[in-house]
Amino acid sequence: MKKNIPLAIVIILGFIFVGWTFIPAKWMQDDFYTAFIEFTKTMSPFAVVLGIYSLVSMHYSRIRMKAPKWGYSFVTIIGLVVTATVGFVYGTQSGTPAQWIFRNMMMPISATMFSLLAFYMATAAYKSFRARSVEATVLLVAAIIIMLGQVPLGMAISKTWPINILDISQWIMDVPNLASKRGILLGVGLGSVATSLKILLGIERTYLGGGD
Amino acid sequence: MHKNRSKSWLSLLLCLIALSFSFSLFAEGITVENAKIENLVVEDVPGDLGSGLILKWKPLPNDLKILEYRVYRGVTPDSLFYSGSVVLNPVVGFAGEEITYLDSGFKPFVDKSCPGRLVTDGKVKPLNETTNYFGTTNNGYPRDLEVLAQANGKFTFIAQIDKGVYYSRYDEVTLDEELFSGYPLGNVSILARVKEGVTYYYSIVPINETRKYLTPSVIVSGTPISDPLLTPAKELYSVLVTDGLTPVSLNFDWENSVGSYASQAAIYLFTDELDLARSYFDATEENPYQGSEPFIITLDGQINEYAKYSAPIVLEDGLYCLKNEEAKFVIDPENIENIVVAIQANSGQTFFLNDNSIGKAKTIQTASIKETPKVPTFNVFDVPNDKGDTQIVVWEKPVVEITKTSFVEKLGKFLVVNYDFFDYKAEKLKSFDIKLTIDGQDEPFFTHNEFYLNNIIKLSLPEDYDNNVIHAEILVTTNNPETEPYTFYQTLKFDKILKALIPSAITKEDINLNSFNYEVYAKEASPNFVTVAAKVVGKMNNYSDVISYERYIYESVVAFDAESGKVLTPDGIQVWYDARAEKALYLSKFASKSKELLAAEIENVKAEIAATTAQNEMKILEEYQANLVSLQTELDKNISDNNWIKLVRKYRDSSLRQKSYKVFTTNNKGLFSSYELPKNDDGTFQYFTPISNQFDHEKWAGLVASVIFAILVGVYVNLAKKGVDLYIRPIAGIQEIDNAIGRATEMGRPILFVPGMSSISVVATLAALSILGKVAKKAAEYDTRILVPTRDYILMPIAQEIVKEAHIEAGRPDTFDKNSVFFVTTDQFAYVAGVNGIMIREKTATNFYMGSYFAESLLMTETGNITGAIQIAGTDSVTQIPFFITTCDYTLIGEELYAASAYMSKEPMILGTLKAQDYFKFIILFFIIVGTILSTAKITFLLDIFPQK
Repeated sequence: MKKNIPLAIVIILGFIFVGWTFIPAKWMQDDFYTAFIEFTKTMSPFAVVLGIYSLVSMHYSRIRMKAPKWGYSFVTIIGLVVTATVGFVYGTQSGTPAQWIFRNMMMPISATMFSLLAFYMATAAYKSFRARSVEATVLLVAAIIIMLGQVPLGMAISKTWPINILDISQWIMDVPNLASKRGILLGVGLGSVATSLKILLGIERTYLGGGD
Repeated sequence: MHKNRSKSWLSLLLCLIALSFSFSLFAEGITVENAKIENLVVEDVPGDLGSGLILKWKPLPNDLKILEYRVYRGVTPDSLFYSGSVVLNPVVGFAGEEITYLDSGFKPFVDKSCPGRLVTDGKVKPLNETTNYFGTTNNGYPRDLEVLAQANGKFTFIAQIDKGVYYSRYDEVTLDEELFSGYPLGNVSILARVKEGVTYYYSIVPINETRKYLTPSVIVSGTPISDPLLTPAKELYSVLVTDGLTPVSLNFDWENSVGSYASQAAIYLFTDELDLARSYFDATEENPYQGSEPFIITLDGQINEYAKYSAPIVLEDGLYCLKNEEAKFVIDPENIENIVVAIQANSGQTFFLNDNSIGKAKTIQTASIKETPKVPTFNVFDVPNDKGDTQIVVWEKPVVEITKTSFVEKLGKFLVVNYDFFDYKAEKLKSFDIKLTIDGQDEPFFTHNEFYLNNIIKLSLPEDYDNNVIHAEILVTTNNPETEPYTFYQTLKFDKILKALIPSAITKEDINLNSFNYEVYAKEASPNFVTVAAKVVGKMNNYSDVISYERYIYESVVAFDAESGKVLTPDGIQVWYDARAEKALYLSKFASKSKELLAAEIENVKAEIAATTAQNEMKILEEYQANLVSLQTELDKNISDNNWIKLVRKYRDSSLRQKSYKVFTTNNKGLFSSYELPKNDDGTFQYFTPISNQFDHEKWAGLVASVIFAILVGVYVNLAKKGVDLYIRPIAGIQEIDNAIGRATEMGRPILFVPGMSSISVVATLAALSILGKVAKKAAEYDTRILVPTRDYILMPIAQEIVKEAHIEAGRPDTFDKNSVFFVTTDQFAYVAGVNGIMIREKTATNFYMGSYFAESLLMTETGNITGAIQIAGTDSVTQIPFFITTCDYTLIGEELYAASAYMSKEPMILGTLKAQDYFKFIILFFIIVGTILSTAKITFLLDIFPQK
């Protein structure tokens, strides 16, 4: 019962949304869909409570058990309480402490994390482009051409060479790269449809969790 | 020596700092405490109907970091309500000398976000005790009818009512013996506009970047005045159209001034000198007009909307003349320059043309009837496969135009030609043949059939080409077999500055398509209502008219009635529009009153029928009467108000969304022609209503493919159930999952499973959850801890249930720790920081990354790489696959992510879908190969079957 009712809901709504794809009529696109989207919004607040409960519960237990580096958990809970409190008390519009926290703490920290990506990319590129095998060498050559095609140096070289490196770079992007990308996307599309179909027909039920 | 010099520099620096500090102490600068807004003035918005005020004030110094100027408004100086604000960037400040705030037009007044009771804005410190500032951060007036009732008559109000509320949530309210519909305030949004003659009081309150409220400005008042802008037409063109030597018509074409409330009343023709003609407008009884009387052509509202008029010229007594009921005006084609033309606005004042226009209008141009743009015969189609809110007016065949060219000079001379095409769903462009010929040569150097319309043609130029002019001939074929192929011409001329061949305007049948425009006018479901729907250039061939479904209804608010607790609006409602009789039927929202109104309307129609002699008109009126009587029969059944409004809603839905059209072709300088759709047999207008389609025919291919795929799944699931051995190719990443879990067990370290960055509604996340179930079960069997940090709080409880179930299935429910599946944060990079922290602190031995990923993938996998964990990733995010391949030990690419759970479970049902998927790929591959071959051979039927983006 615990599984059958949710399964029935999934299957019925699944077929309705298949209909939604093929039926452009107003009753389906406007009347049903708008009402349904409004309904789904109501789910979110309940899930937020669960999420916050999970966060607090996990970090509280770490603090209580003095787990290794439990101080981080303490900082997390303090951060949650402080941000939530200033948000509730002063609001979240411009000029409030919540916005100050967001602008002066949250944004710089996020930007720092993102900027690390450049260095990680450099190390990843180094690993990939070491010419250890024929495939890796092909990858290296292709990468050099693409890189030259993106920078002014490539354009300068092209003026003196009989072959336009920009055109080769564009060709690599447009033909082999796009072909393999489309191949992957085709597989992804089919896999996605197959998974949806498995869910729709009740073959795949893992997402329902446990219980009978 | 050197040391001494450093010391002296240091001393000088300290002195400067001390000096600047002392200056700052003694300077009487403007501070947050003493800042005052100066020069606040409230003025009437000129040229309107008394519906706006404009506020101006001097901004405070940018040093004060002002974030917002809040505007408080009231109808008395003692009660001011928040009504809007000017928001600034405190870092940049305001650069100008004066800030303006326009209190004009309808603005939100009260809605459901407003507080339920009157709230004093406690942060404002009034300049005097008698003034109260009310409001919250975003609202002024509360949802309190007693408070709102005090504003009755002080503003012009309209209510924005949701359709569902409009037809169901009103009550009958009688006020001063008049009937109104009363809506609950909580169900409607009120918009308000300032009203002519009412005095409003304003005060500005600045707020700085820490949201500190500074001292309010003094209160200043203003009153809107009705002073409509009455500007006559900007331009007037007059053309005498002749057929050979015979004058046919005198055409007038003018441009109405934007924002003017004046419409043109009449056109005057004089034979006097200009100055004498001008004095006609200033003539009085004491000082009568001395010249010859002008000929007057009166203009009605509809002609004003079109801004063009054609007066026919008749031959009478051997003279060509314009005629109306009272007079005639002789036109002498030989001396046409002697006629002065003027246009007058209907404001009660006379407006002659301005000086520039006089120059143009004084000389009436002469043009041959052959120069008149051709009559734009058009048709109206419903747009297929839509929800029924668009119809398309089509007057020309699809157009192809060369838009740009560029040279490519490597390994020869190449030309890249970009083209665009304008077609529509009812008639699509199928293909076109293009011929390019160098000026002076007979044979084209390039001929090409463009059947795949990708907006670009690449061609090689002749060796001897030297920037000569190129003539392009484009022969167009459409998908309508009845349409004969037709040709467009363009010329490509070399531009030395741009170093490119610049395409000329398109010509078709020797007519330059840029030399005229199309104007589409729509006649809506109202007897005398014509609006301009579109003005488009000559190469455009259609206009899509969006006729939205009613969602909100706007009604004027008569009063806020505290006694009944309702917002009162008029009870009248348009029930239907009878397109044949051209009559709009207005009744009441209440059945009893509608009964009376309907009886009166029937009597009116009876009288009209009695007075009509024309058979057609009489028949139409009788039909209209029959409709009214049928409605009366319904009302006579004493239906409830509820049932009555349901009936009204049905009639309104079906009759208020119809439109009729008229199209002009015009050169905007006096030459034009117009076309209206042929009327019905009984002389009534043709009206069109868009149709709501029940199936999207463009998605047939998708539906058929889905059905075939579903059949394949069914077949292979059955085969698998019967025990047929289904071979599935090995996938290294999946085969290694067991080993990876075993490694974690041996090392006594936990496993990390990241279920992607997307929500539960994404299919990749569902696939990741399926894999999580299998991995968690294996981990439970080996008694290895699994950590699942989630980014989506809806996903978290589902993942918890899956891991819990896996432990139960493995026979180890005791080892399940609820806190091992937990929510981290929804923020992308904060989540990465959290996950990376877990990897480093917990020293996870095996990391799984399954699902959708974005820019954060490399940040996580590189960290995992550094910690020495074995990493298995699976994603359908194409852009992230290279990062995973580089940094992970095994990667499931695209579809392998979806196949993983089936592969791991070995359940026949799930394996069946995998096999079906493979065979379906064969079908797709077949169509790709066959489609490529057929397309190369220019056979496009297969291409046309599939939907194109």
